[in-house]
Amino acid sequence: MTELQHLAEKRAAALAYLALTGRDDLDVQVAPPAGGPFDVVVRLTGRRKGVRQFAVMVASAVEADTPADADRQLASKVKALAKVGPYPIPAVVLLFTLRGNGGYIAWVSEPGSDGQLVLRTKPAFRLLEAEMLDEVVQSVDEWYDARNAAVSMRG
Amino acid sequence: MTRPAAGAHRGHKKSHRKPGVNGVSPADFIGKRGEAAALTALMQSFDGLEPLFDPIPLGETFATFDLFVRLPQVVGVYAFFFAQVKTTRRGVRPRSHTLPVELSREDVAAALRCRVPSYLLGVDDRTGAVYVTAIDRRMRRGVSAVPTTHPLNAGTARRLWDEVQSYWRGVHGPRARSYFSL
Repeated sequence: MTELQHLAEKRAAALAYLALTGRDDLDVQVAPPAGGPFDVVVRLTGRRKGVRQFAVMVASAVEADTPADADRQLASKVKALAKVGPYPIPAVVLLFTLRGNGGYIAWVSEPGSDGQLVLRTKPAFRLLEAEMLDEVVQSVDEWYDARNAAVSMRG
Repeated sequence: MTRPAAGAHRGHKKSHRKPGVNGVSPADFIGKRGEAAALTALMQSFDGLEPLFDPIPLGETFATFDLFVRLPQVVGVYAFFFAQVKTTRRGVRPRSHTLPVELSREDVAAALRCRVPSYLLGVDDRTGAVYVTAIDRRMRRGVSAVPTTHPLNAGTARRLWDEVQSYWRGVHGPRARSYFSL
């Protein structure tokens, strides 16, 4: 790993922490280094029923000016993540660069209909803005709603 | 772990409060966010150039400083500085243009004993802005707020880099006044 990649990786981890902890209804736990492909596990808190989590993989690049740039640069990583899957919970990739504090987000394990998860083999990055994170959290919430509805309880 | 500043946690030791959000007390949580903001500001690439600093968190075992900051682009000497990170959610005081973060007289004295360039990084958690102030003899009585004169941006980062690498090259003596002094 070059010095530049090392710095980009460290900076991305710090930016991911800032982005995720900016919401007060997310509990952010950094995964141990040998904890598999997930860098961060995020638990949805507040008045929600049951345990609701999604996983985050943090990626870095020296620069990526557009979501299309991000798609190109992370294509092989997302493909590799798909090979390791499927995942038991929703999962996203966050990408940050050395320039600026903005980032990109893409689904790897995306909530689908009826509690299913769709494994993405190609990234479709979007700018990581507050509304985008809201959308991700809402999708995760709805996925757990659908999944929990299928859980029956027995004495 | 970074110790939060006034308004969040006035102590200088690890908080013994019960865990709140994100596995830490609310005060330590603000401190962690501040440290992350300081890391991102120090490692930002300005004008397409490589980052000037490589900050390494020192953790809770090192009481005086939060970050050991290496200058990777300096050739010939190993240049670094120490940083204390103080974070607040109280925001910048508009009249005095200061950020209310505290550094005690004892902490300043401990920092001065290290005899290497040391800086206080005041973080405004509401905006993510980071303000640089030198920890030197002008701060010996401690501070309850830092000026917002030197936000960490492309210009101040370059100035900070120049100052630290000059120190290690022996250009300036250890008692030279810092550009970032109070």
